Amino acid sequence: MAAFFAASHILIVAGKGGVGKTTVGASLGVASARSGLDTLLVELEGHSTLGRSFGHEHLPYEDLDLTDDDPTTVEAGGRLRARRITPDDALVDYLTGHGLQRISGRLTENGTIDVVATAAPGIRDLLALGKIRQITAETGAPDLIIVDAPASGHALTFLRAATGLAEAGAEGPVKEQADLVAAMLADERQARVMLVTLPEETPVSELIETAFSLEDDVGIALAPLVVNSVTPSIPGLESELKALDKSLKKKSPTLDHARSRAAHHRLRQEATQRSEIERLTTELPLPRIELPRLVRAGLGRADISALADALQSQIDELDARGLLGDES
Amino acid sequence: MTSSIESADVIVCLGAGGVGKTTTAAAVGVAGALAGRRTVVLTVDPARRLADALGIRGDLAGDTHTIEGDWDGELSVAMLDPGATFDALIHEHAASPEQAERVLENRIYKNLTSSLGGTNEYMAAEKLRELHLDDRFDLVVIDTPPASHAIDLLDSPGRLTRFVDHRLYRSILAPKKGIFRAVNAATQLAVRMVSKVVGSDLLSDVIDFFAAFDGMDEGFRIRADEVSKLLVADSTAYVLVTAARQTALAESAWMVESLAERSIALESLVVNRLTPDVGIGSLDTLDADRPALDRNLSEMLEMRTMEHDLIAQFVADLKGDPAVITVDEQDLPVADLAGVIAVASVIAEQASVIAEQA
Ligand SMILES: Nc1ncnc2c1ncn2[C@@H]1O[C@H](COP(=O)(O)OP(=O)(O)O)[C@@H](O)[C@H]1O
Ligand SMILES: [Mg+2]
Repeated sequence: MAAFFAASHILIVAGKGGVGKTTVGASLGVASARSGLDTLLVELEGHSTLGRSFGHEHLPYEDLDLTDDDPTTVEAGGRLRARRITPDDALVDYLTGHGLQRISGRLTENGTIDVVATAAPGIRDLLALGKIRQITAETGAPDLIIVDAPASGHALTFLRAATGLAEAGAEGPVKEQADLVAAMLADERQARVMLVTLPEETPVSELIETAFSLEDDVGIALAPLVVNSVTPSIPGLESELKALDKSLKKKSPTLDHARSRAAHHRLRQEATQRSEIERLTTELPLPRIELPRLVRAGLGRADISALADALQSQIDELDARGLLGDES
Repeated sequence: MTSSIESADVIVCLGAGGVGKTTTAAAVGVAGALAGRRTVVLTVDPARRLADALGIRGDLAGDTHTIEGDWDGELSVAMLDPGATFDALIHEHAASPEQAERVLENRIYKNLTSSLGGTNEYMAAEKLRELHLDDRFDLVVIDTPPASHAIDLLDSPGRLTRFVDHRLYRSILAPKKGIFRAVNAATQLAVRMVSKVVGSDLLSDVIDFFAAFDGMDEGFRIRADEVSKLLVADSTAYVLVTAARQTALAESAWMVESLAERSIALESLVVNRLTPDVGIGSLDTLDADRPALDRNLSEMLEMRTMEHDLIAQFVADLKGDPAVITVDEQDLPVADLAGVIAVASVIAEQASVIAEQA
């Protein structure tokens, strides 16, 4: 378990908007901390809800401790922290670190950086990734940084930023940074990406496309895929429904009609989901984790904890079947 | 919603990713056609099977395509092609074909749709204006790009003009123009600093872009103003699509706020993909002989109750008084015209009940 999380310093969680990548990231964070690792969750989007999973409206730029006396984490000697990284803060940090702080004030002040960022797409993403890289190199660096990536297709742009800029003819400090980040992403002991999807048509198609582009353009290692919010099947539902439908008449009690309609709905949904998962497995034969859809309209810390358990047991299972390769 | 389906010039569908914006836009379009209007739906990213079913893939991108159906009005669909829309704008505003070519071939221009935030939204708005002015249609329904927010759409015309209008641009071109000869020293310094950080190659691409664009900015500004006006016109109605989930509702609340900041009222809220109604409200005792059936039934009822509570809370906190329409999750994904028509009839039915009550 710890071996899986310790296999790289950075784990980037990516997926289309609405698939639950923030939830998955938070659950991974909890699972990693419980396995004894010093874990840092990083949020990149201004409106990410990563903080909210832990009862915080916003995450600060400085670390926020979320270990919260979680007994398993404490016992294992792990730790969970979270923070936000914004490109603008990262730019100031970066320029300051390169003895250019006089420039940084002016660049951000008159909006020049906006023009440059537009002209040289990816510069903001590069700065954010550069900042993450810097954190891994600091003394007292966390064992694992879990990054809640921007929603894809932006995730792709995000991870391509470094190679893109180098190709665009960047020079000087930006080129240096781009080379370092590109090397970091291509090194599986440094970084892996975990792609998250729902068992639905569009997110599955997008995940497949993203996975191939990531391999081709970025060379980043793919961690197991996560299919989130899978409707769990209820043993016996199909046979009970068959028996019920046989006896069902127009005049049967409303309750029986309700039972039948509810069961039909669930079974159709499960079938649709299964066929999407099958398409995913055929087109992208990678180890896969499935997280159950919870009967909740919003997730709290207890739910995150339950999902962390589900992740943990499936990672153990993949490991036992030898599907995690030399990662663990 | 009935009133807007019957009388609005434009209906804009907003919402967080994956909640069913595209599906709703298509359904509202069908409702428009059923109400006798000559409707066109501008979709942005239809699910592949739905796009296939509606015949809006590949080469048809950008063009409108008529869909036959059992309605008094007419229904057409178009798929947004941001790149082609942008190219057309450049051709329209360029002083000569040569200038257009210069811009179209510039590396920065080629990246602009992905690099300048809000460009896809602006192209949706630009295409919206084109369809709005098209005599063949009297109602335009637009779907918005995924992951875009109300503000991205509303602010998009301004962002592009602000970019091409940036003082860095004026300063770069200054030496060539007499009146600007008193060069803005601070900005020239900024240019040099930028070159120090990103290198001179990139910077010269920027300079080429601005130079190629020179003279087109005025036309762009005027056009952006027109598009902005259309977006805030009284005859433009906003429909917010959401899921009955905390995260989607939080994003929705933020969108309603940004609309309100621009004095735009939300005309309807469509809560999509609710756990379906199965005809009863609660289950008192579980049948021990049918544990699976009743476990499923009670889960669904519990889920539906939670969703209704969340919506009630959300609506109570809403400023303004939008029509609230709920659409149950269909048994199968909405992947063809029949599916869209089913959703359209749910929307139309509830809208007319709300209209009667008002
Ligand atoms: N009421 C509904 N019942 C069942 N499936 C739905 C419903 N609304 C949308 N869907 C499905 O949900 C998916 C996402 O819908 P879509 O309209 O593409 O979302 P968005 O445009 O907001 O990203 C599609 O596969 C669609 O078929
Ligand atoms: Mg869509």
